[in-house]
Amino acid sequence: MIDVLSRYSTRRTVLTAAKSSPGEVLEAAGDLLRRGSKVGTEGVETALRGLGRPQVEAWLKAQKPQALQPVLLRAAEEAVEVALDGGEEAEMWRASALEGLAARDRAASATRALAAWEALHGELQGEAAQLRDRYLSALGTLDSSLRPRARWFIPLNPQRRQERDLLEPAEQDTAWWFSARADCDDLVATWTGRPQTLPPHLQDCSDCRSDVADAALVDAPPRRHLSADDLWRLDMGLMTADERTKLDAHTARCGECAQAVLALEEGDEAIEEALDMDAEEAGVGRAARTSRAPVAHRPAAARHPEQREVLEERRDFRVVLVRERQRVRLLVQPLAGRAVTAAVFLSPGRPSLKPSHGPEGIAFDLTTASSTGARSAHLSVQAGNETLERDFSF
Amino acid sequence: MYEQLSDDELFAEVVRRRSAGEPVGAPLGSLVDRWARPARYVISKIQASYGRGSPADADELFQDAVGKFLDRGLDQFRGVSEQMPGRSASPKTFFLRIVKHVAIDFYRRHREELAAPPSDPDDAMEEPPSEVARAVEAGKRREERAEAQELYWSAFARLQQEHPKEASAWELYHHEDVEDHEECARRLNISVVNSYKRVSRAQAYLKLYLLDLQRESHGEEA
Repeated sequence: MIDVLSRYSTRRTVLTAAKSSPGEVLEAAGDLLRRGSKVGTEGVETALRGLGRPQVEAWLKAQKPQALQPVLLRAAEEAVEVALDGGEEAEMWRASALEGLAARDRAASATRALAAWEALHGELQGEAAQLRDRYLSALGTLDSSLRPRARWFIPLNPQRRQERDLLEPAEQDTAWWFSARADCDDLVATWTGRPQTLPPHLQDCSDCRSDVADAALVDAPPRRHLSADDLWRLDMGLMTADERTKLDAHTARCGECAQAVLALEEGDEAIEEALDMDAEEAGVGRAARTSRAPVAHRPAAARHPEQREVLEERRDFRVVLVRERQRVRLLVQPLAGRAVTAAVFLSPGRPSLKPSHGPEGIAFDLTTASSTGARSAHLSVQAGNETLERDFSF
Repeated sequence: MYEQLSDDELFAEVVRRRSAGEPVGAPLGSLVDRWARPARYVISKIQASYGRGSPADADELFQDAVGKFLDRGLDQFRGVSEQMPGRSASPKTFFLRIVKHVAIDFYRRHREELAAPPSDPDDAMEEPPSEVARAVEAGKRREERAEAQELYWSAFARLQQEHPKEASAWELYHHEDVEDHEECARRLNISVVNSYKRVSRAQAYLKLYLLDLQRESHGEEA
């Protein structure tokens, strides 16, 4: 406390220093006025009388109170780091965060001194009065937006309380950056855990009780369920291997999503049955005008006997491993109309597997290799300037 | 007038008209009429899978599917058929896939509502007042829970943006149910201590973001 007190006492020197700007004089004068009972106000009136109207008006014109918002938001993050870091850097975060709060406090001091200056020199008029009103209004908007986030500054509470207690009682509540949630230290422990028993403060403080209740969802986070888009991508074989792994892990525990995946499969069976019924009814004679797809194109063929794993997706091509009941193929599918060449090597020094070109792109049949025990190969793809070299397992 | 056209020809006509900015109602209506019976069959099977549904639902779902086929399905079908012709099947099969997904999405979304007492006022009048009050209260709780979860996911999105490493650890530990720091550490290629630290930091930031979002959301409502 003594350090803080002496820091403000030394502010008095700014009042009389020849190099002090009008803004610095206003801030120092306000600092002392807002802490008059503790540090005294000697020299303040003389200093304010010495500030001319043009100087004050020029200072007002240069003010950008909205610039305080990012300063305070950064200070909030830094304050939280004081609690979360816990290491050597905690003190660095604390000092930096407190500097952010001090910036807001200096603006409050300048405002207070400006009012005292007007009491001595008469009210600002015309454009200067408008500038003053806009400045005060902008500070008010800033406070309305940030005061509810005062919990972020709780890790700075020991220092904030010292600052709050130096202020005149009438100033304390307004200076929310020092006073709001200044006694809620116990809340910090609930950010990273759920205490077995609530400390007395958390039981008595309505703000803390609300915070604990409102943030409880994070202690038991909701699951991320499969979205309609996930199901569509699964159905179309567009999921990557990693996505499939996550999906399988999720459906193993989530009955709702497992039911959706089951419904997809039942839906496929239903589509096949519906197509069969249509075909039987229509008979061969009408085959030409039905939309009955060839067997290989029907939905069950899309997902059940055949599993597709996207190994690589680039702007110009996609690499897909296709597993059927007794076949394994690697497809290199050109995208965006670009010419693509590809080769698959089962072992170094041996020629590439023979590709076949079909409607889906370049296909390499790995069935024989698989039946002889091979489990991996090397893939080389060239599309324009883009090349891909990678090993893959099958 | 479209009877002589095959499905594929009729579908091509729909696509052509759409590209030309001409009305597609007539050929599309004729096309989906042909597919109405198999579509209702697929819907009935999804209803059976969920143990719910009525003919009225089937009408609504069929219309929804037609709307989706028109809105997105035509382009999607073209895209899929260009990139993966072996999987696209015919327009009819593609439409039936849309029907299937529309039905599954509908019964997933309405699972809780369907399980709850009827919300129709006429039906509700037949329920004892205590049941009605309970249903109203349950509905309110569902709405609040949905809102809270929506805010949670917004908070998580902010975490991903501002603290991606912590978000990855949280995602793995909680959303993907790993719940084991050794496994998290292995998968993220970090130390176990770091896994604890990241998850703990994520928890703190998530709470702070969530509380901020709740205040903003209540501020907007006020």
